[in-house]
Amino acid sequence: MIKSPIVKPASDRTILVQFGSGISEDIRTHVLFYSKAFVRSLNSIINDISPGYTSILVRLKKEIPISKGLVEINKLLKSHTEINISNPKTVKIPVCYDEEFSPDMKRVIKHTGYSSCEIIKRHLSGDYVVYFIGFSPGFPYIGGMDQALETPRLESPRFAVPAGAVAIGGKQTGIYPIESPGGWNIIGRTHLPLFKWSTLGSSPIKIGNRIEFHAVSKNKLLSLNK
Amino acid sequence: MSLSILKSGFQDLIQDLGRFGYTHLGISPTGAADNLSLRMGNLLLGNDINKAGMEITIFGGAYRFNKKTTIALCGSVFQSTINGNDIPFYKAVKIDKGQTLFVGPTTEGARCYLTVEHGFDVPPLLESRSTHLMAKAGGFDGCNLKKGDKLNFSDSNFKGTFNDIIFKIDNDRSVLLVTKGLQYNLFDSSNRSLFFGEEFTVSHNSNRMGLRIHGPKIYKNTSNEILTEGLPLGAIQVPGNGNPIISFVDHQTTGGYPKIANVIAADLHKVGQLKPGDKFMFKLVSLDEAEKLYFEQESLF
Repeated sequence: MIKSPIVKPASDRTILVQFGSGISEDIRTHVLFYSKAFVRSLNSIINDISPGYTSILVRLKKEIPISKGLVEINKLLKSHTEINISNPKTVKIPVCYDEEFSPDMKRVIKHTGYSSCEIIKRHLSGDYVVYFIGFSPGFPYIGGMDQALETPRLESPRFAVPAGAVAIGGKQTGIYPIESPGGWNIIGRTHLPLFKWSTLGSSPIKIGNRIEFHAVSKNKLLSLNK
Repeated sequence: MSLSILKSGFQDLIQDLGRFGYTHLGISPTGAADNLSLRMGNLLLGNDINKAGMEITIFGGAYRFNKKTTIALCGSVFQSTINGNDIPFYKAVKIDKGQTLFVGPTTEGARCYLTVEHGFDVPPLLESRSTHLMAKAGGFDGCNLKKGDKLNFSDSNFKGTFNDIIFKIDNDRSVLLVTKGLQYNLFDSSNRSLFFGEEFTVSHNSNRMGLRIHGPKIYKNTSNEILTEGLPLGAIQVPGNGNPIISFVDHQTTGGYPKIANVIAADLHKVGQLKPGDKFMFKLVSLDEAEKLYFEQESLF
């Protein structure tokens, strides 16, 4: 059943298309489907889009008035009677959870009451999917984490989180693709390069992809790094 | 090389009008903080408006020209000289080989733009020459220009006289016009009255990603968090500490704080000229009014 989204201006140059109000598989597939459709079919009126958990923000080209944007977006939404999502790709990501790479494991232990072994076990067993890419270049918002691992973000964000840091922010998990500021709880490290300017289209992590983490030793991580 | 940085300023950056089309990959457009001034600088030299210029913030440095060209300085007036003589702003100025431009501190707002004939020739990244500071990419080596850096630009070929095309642009930064933000309704009438009735001051902890502002503390009327969603340029986010943040040209593409308001597109150049310590107030306008002001401004170019 296709949802009729709310389409409204978010500023004098942007429009928000809202598919619902909570995190759900149904809403996620709508966001995924229409993100692709917008990029494919609205090129003449939009500069770019930002998908979120339940919505897509559309940024208009400079000569396009809001009224024209609303008409074109509504037209496109009405032109689809069903949502087709191709089978998602599953990406396996090696993560080293060694102490050296998990400066915030103590915080997660404190908030969840689990041992670090239990936290790692539960983090490895999530049913993960990339909801969208946002925040910084290539940063995946990964949903499907064991909710018992929920840990609030740091009170004051770090100035620089290293590239490859695997972290928990609230109910989500994510991976910092490049060194950037960040406030999520760092519990591991991957060596996989997740963001390269030269190969943007072939990044291993894309919206809609399924993710599987598997644990590797520090030696293995370092050897993969070479 | 065409230009040598003998001494760099507080933050000298190569910027054009931005890198569009990649926010779905988390890449913000970046681009000139006051793009009206960059566009004017290019127009004065007969350049395409999107040519890369040097964005100079708070105070500039010393720049030696190793070949002749024509330059323009636009935006806020900074104390500037060329070989010891004062240099006019908003005017095409011929430069001879060997001359050194000194750009001192600003006398008004935060930024000015140095443009040269044909623009600075740095390698484009995804069709733009803008510096993306967070990703350390684009522009010149992805970062601020430093002493010893050298920039190229094409040979001067201008034969006529330059027009002094100056547009009358509203530069009054004491009031920023805004439209309602996506979560306007999460703020009750007393918080809205504070937001629109009192003065805010730009914090020192501000940059191209966002301007942190201090004034009355603003709080939403619910303890519920909002879900992360796309962040419009100029969105005014209100984190839990009550001090709003104006998201700016290097903003993160998505955000999870409620947005009380959004600076209108026609006033974004003013945000690019605000500097720490500046005081201003917000004034609410309708979307129709905002759009009218935006298209009036764009019709100048």
